[in-house]
Amino acid sequence: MASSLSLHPCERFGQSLVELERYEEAHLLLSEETQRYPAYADLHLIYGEVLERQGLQERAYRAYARACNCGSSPNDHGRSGGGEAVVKAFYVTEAGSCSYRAYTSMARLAQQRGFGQEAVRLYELALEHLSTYRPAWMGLADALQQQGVSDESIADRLLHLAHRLHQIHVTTDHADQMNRPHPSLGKETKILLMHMLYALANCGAYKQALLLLGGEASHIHIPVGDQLHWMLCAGQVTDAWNLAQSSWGEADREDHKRTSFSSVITSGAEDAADMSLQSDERSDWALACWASGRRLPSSFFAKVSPLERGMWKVADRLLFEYKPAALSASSSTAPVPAVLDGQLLQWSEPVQMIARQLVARAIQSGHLVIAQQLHERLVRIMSDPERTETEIRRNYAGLLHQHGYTMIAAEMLIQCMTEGELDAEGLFCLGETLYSKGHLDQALSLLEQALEQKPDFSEARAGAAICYLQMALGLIRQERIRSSEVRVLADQQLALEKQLRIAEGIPWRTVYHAKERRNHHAGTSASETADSGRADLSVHDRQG
Amino acid sequence: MIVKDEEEMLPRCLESVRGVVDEIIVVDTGSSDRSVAIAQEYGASVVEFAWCDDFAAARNAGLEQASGDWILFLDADEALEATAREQIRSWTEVSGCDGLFLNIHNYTGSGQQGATVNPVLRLFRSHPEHRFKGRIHEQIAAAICERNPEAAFHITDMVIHHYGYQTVVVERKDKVNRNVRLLQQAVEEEPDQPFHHYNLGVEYLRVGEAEKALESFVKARKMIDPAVTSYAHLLLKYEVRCLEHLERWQEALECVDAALELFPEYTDLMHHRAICADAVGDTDAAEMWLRKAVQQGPPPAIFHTEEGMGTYQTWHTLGRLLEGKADLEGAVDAYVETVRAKSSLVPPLYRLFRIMRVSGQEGQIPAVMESRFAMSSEEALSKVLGILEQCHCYDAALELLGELPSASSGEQREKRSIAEAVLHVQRGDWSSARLKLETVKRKKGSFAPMAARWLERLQWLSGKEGQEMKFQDAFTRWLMNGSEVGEGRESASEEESGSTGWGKLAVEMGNRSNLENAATLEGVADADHAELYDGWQALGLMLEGCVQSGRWQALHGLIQRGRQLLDEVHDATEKKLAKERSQGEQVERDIIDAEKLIREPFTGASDTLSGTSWLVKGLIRAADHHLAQLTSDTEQVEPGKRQRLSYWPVIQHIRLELPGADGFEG
Repeated sequence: MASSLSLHPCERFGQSLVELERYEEAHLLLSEETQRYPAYADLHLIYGEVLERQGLQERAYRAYARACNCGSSPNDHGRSGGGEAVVKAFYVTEAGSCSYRAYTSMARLAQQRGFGQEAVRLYELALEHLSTYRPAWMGLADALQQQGVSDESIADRLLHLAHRLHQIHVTTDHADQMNRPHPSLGKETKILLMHMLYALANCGAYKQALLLLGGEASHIHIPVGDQLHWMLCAGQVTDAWNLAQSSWGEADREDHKRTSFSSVITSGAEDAADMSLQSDERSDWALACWASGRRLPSSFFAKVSPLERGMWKVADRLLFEYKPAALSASSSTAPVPAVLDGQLLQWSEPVQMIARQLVARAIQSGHLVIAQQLHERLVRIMSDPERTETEIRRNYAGLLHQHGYTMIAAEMLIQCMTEGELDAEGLFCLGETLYSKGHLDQALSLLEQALEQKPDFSEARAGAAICYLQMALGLIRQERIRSSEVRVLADQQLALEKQLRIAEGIPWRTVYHAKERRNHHAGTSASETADSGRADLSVHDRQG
Repeated sequence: MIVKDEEEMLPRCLESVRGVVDEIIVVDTGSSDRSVAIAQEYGASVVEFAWCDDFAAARNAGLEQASGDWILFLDADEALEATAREQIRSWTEVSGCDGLFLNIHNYTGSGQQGATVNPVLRLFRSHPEHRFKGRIHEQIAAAICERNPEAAFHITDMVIHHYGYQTVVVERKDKVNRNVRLLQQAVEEEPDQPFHHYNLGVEYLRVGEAEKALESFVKARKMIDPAVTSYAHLLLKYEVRCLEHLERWQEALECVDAALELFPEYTDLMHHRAICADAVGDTDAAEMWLRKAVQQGPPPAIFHTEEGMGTYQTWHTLGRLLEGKADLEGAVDAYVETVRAKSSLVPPLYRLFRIMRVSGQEGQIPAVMESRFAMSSEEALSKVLGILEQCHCYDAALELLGELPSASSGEQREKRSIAEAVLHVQRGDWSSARLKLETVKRKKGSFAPMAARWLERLQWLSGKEGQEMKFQDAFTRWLMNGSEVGEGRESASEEESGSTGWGKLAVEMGNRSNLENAATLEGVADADHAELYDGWQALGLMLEGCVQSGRWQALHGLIQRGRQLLDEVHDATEKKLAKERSQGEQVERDIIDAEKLIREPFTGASDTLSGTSWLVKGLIRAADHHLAQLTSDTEQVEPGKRQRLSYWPVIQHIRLELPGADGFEG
């Protein structure tokens, strides 16, 4: 007879195996344990996670479904290895294992496999069980975007849902509610709205999030850093700049400015108040400045460590002081002032990383012009002088690809190919994009080339395998049109289609969420502006 | 026996009883072919009988003329088994009972899928009161029991082969429709007879009308008492099969469970119980039931069973199930048992070899073959060799090739050398292939031309681009021609077929598909070996070699070339059809072009189905090659600790399930 305590170990053990990435052992353990304790939701849930990691998506889905079927009431029976009934075993289960967590996992899988409507339904189901479950909100917005729903409609739908969920939880009678709304309900609505705002922002509907923040959700507190980022992403650069200034800028820091600046230089110590900005917030502030055509203010420099200050100064200067003669051409050097050389060569690893993060942030917030200029100038300075123009460009294209700008990246990569060689990463990115457009032959060639350079490039290898299978499928389909009677081909086609579906469990493609998906078709406007060589940084100030 | 237009089957039937029976009586219900004449040749008395939709009446007409002590009745599409011929006399002399049951082995489909076995009453004492009853599925037992309520029957193990339900024959004879018609009539006339409903259900099931079959079975079941009805177990089994066919799994489960309560030793039911469990995802229960079934083995003799239930069929199903559960070791064991139970089966060998190859154990295949199979004859070894080749286990095949007893003739030696060379080609080891081929070419035997052709192909593969070569081999010339439209040059003169016209295509395709499936020299008449390893198959072999040796650029080139040709053939066909459609409207030039294209660049080029098959095979192999490399273990810094991709299970699953040779072709 087992007591509830003895059920914990296998779940905990299973979890630690997962953390150690010992999936095979976890799989073996859990496949047995789930048989033994079929009503224990947590086990099914972890089992599902393991199966997902192992690429066995369909089985994972079934495991999650079994978790859902467990129900939340304590169970009376399990089955021990010897078959005796385990009496009165109460399962201490983590909240949501049999409901919202499982539904959300199922929804995620459904979304991955292209069952958009099913995903939406499951996310909503999860929220019905726990309206404040953030991952479900995030997932729902993402799934809606994937289905092509407009941002306005997404916002409407989420708002509608929030209201509906709120209604479900109305427990007090009307009379009571008239006079004073139940405090916990009010709190819950706030949380719902907050999740909604973040869900909208997370799926790239920044404008909608900001609109709501200015309207119905104005009483919700969103940290300055997040708001700033949303404005930046929505192209509301002037608003962004104003917000940054009023929150962190000179107006609030008159006294500090003079004293702290010098003290920071001499002592090198970090002053808590001045260093309260996170690196992302710093980047956003800088981008807000630059995007609205302004240089970095001194209050900005006051808030960065001496280590970084050099880099920020250089970046600021690079963006404003150069008239780049030949940005896109493969000319030898851009005119870097000699006086900076000494300073610049001392850039340490951490600083280089910040610079790279800055470029990524710029891309992520949609300011491609700035991003490209920063990349080319900063990276050129930072990296090995032997690195060619093509390599730098290739590197940048890889970043673009990562953030969903697949078409722009592809154009750049093709350009690089004509100028010189592409490295394995570049070949892969281009191959992946071509694959997604259905150009199997070219994709395959690129992927094989990538493998030649880097034989352990597992993503490229998986992609190549799948390309071959798709090509085989294509040939069969063609032949079936020619000779429609053949049963053998029909069977082969079914088998291949099935295996290709299963192969979607192999993680070789770059994972894109809603934010990045929006950029797939981002076309020529950004690259044109970049190519024209204009250092017109206010070009992205779309709305004041 | 009753016959009508059975000239094809009758000889085999009558031959099987010649010398065994003292008298043959054939009731002819209106043959317009040579049936009567054939019967007379065997010395039978022929009774003319006007058909009146009543089998019993027809048989009884024959009984009237019988002068023997015992009556054996057969149908024209049956044949008495050889051993039964010897035993009949002894049984009839010794037996004190009134009737004897024999086992009918029914061969269905294409004959590959084993047989169902039914014990039926086919031998009985002759007596004026022993007369058949029943329009269709006429019965004699009733009459015997009426005359002697204490009548006893013996169940023997004598076998009668029944070939009548093999697909082709059925289509020709339209048997099933006739049966359905008669049974529907019977049901109308006697709606309370469960046996009619049961038989009607059987006919419906035979043509796949599961819904109608189910209806009939359910009706029958409601009328019978399972404890005393001899066919109750069959009825229940068929009901389960209908529900399975209709994928109504819950009902099937309930049905089979109920049946198992009544007939716990009926192996077929256990097997089906497992199928139902698997269908609803309960793979553990499925495994348990299959193991139960093999433990039971074939059911007791009173049950009509399907051949292989509790033996090879069940083992094979277990193998597939265990594969699905990634219990590869268990699957291998199950497949070994399958072959042990029926050594003529090849599909389990295909699965076995694939499993071992995919799990990186190809090296152990020879050892497994040695320890778990008895393969003494050269024939067996050759067969296995062919299978290994089709399963892409080249190293194992080469090892086995070395174990063949030494060749009996120069010709056989050369045949083997060619086989070995082709294995090397597929391995991508072209230099070893070349060595073997050169030897054969030098011998100037009957295989020399084939060797010469392959040497040219290898030369092309390893040669530089744009090298000026004069090739004799049509296939190599086609490869050389690159993107030019196939000019349809004359194939080399040593090929018997030469360039083919559209008219001969069907015959060619028929021959070729047999050769392709053999893929080795097994069972091929020597005169045909000019077409072996040629045409699209040659392309396929080269694709495989490129894959195995990682020459992806050459691979892509070949694939492109192949696709190009498929398109060209397609276009040519279209042109020709269009020309035929619009008689005389075609421009002269177009006709000439189309006809030029009709002349194949190599033998069999216009067979787009074959071309597609070989190209598809090559592409799948390329995918498999990459998937294999993804899952190959890599040593980590600490020796003995290996790093694997977390998703290797899904890759292994895919590799096990990709379409490929599985032994079911042809």
